[in-house]
Amino acid sequence: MSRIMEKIYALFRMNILIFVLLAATVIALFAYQNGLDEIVFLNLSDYPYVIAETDSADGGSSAVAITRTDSSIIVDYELKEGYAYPYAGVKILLGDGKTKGRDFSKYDSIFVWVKPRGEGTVRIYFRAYDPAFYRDGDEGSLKFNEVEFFPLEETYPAVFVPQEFRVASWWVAQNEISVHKARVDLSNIPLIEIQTGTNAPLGYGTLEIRGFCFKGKKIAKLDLVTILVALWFVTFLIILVIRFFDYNRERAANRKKQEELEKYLEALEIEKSEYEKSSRTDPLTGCLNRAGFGSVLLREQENLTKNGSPVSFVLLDIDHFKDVNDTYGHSVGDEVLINLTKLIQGKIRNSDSLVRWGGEEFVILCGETPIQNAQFLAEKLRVAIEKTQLIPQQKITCSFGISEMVQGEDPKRLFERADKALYASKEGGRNRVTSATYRRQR
Amino acid sequence: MKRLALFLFAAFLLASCAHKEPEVDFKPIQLNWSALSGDAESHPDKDRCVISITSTLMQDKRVLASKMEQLDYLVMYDVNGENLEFKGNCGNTAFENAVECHWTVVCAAGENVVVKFHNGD
Repeated sequence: MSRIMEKIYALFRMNILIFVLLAATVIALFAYQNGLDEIVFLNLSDYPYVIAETDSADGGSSAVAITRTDSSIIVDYELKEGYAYPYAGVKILLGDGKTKGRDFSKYDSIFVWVKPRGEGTVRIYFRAYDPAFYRDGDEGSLKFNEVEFFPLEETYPAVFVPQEFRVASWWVAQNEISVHKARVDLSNIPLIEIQTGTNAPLGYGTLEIRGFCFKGKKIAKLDLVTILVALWFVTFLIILVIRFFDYNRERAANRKKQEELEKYLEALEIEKSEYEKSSRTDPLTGCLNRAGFGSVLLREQENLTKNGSPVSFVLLDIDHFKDVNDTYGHSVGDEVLINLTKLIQGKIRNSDSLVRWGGEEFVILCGETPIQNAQFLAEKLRVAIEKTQLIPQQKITCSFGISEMVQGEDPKRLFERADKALYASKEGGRNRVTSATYRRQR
Repeated sequence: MKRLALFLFAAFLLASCAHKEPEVDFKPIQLNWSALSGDAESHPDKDRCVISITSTLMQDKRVLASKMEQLDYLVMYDVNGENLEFKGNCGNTAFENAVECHWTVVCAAGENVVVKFHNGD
C-alpha cells in the first residue's frame, strides 16, 4: 500500500502530470462534443394508460377513437363545430398522471414521431407538475409546456429543443401566474398530450403517434466543466503542497549541509593553523625553528626601520654537546636540549623569540633591546645554566655570542658577527659571553 | 673634456643612487663579572651598573680602536660605601700596558657611568 502511495506521490512531483491533465481535459471536451450521448426512447407500449380527449369537455361535440398497435397509437377523430377551438387528441400518462412523472430536463433534443392523416398542425403538451401551482385533484393545474408544429408526411421525426417549448399563455392568464414563474419546466412530466392544432380543419382525421425519443448528454456541460476545474484545482493544490514540503526538506538539507561545511571549514582552519604552527616549530623542544624565525626577524627588522627600535641577537651553543651525546646517548642529549629550552624560556620575555638554530645551537632574538641589555641577559642565562643541573650525569654550560642589528644591513652579517663572538667565547674557554661591538664605517 | 665631465657626473649619480649596505666593523668584547662580596652581588644598582658599563665600554673609542683582536675583561666589583666599584683588567697579558686594558668605574645611584681608563701605573 505504501509503495502505491509512494508511486502516486512521485507522479504528483513530476511536471508530466500537468501535461496528462491537459490531455485529459482536451479529450473530455472533445468526447463531450462528439459523444457521451444519452438517448432514451419513450416506448408507448410501456405506458398502458392512454386516454382519448376531445373538446366535449369544453362544450364541443368532436369525437375520437383510439387504436393501439404494438408500436403506435392511432387516433381517429372527427372535429365538429360546437367549441370555438375544436380539438381531439390523446393523453399518455407517464406516471400517476398527477404528481409523479419523468424528468426530461437534461435532454437537449426531443424527437416526435407523429404521422397525420389530414391537414393542420399538431400540438403537444408536456404537462409539468409544479408544487407551487398544483391543486390537488385538478389536472388543469399541471403546467402546459406546449409546442405546435406541422408534422411531416414522411417517416422522419419532428425535432425540438427545450427552448422551443413555451408555457401556454391562456394557462398563465387563467391561473394568474407571474411571468417570471411561468417558465418551461420539464423536470417532472406526469402527462403528455398530443392534440390537433389550433386551426385544424373540421371533419375526419387521423394521428398516428409512433413514439418519442429524448437525446441528451450523459453529463451536463456545467458538471463537466466543474469536474475539470475541480480536478485542475485539486491537482495543483496537491502539487503545491508537495512542492512546499519538498522545498522545506531541501532547505533543511541545505542548512544541514551548510553546517557540515562550516564545521569542515573550521576543522580545516584548525588543521591549517596547527600545520603552520608545526611547520614553524621544532618538534623536540617546541621552540621556533628556522622557518618560524624568518617571520619574527622580518617583524623586528620593520620595527628597527620604522621606529629605530634596537634588535639584538643572542647566539648560544651548548659546550661539549657532542661528548654528551657520545657518552650518554642521544636520548640524554635530547633531554639536555629540552631542559635547556625550558630554562631559557622561563627567563626571557614573551616578546623575545627562542629559536633552535640547528643541533645544539640556539638563537634568542630580542626586540627593543640594545646590545648591552642582551649582554646582560646572556650573562644571566649563562650563570643560570651553569648553576642548573640540566641532566644528572653532567654539568652543562653554554657559550654566547651577541650582536645588535644595524639598520639596513643584511641579516647574514648580523649572524656572522654573533657567530664570531660565539667563536671568541669558545676560544676563550667556553661558558662565556662575548658581544660583537661595532663601529659603523662610512 | 665635456664628455668626460658628463661621464663622471653620470657615474656619480649612479653611485649615489645605488643601494649601499652599511659596512660594519666590529670587535668582540668579553666581560667576565666577578663579585668580591655577597653585598656586591645583591646590591640594588648592580644590574643597572653592569648594563651601563657594558654599553659605555662598547661605545668607547679606545676600546673600538684597540689593537687587540678581541677584548677579554675580567671585571671585579665590590661595595664601596653606598656605591659599587668596578675594576676591569684584560685577560690577555700581552697587551698589559694598553690603556684600554685597565679601567675603573664607581657606579653611584642616579649618576651616569664614567669609565676611567689608565695603563695600570
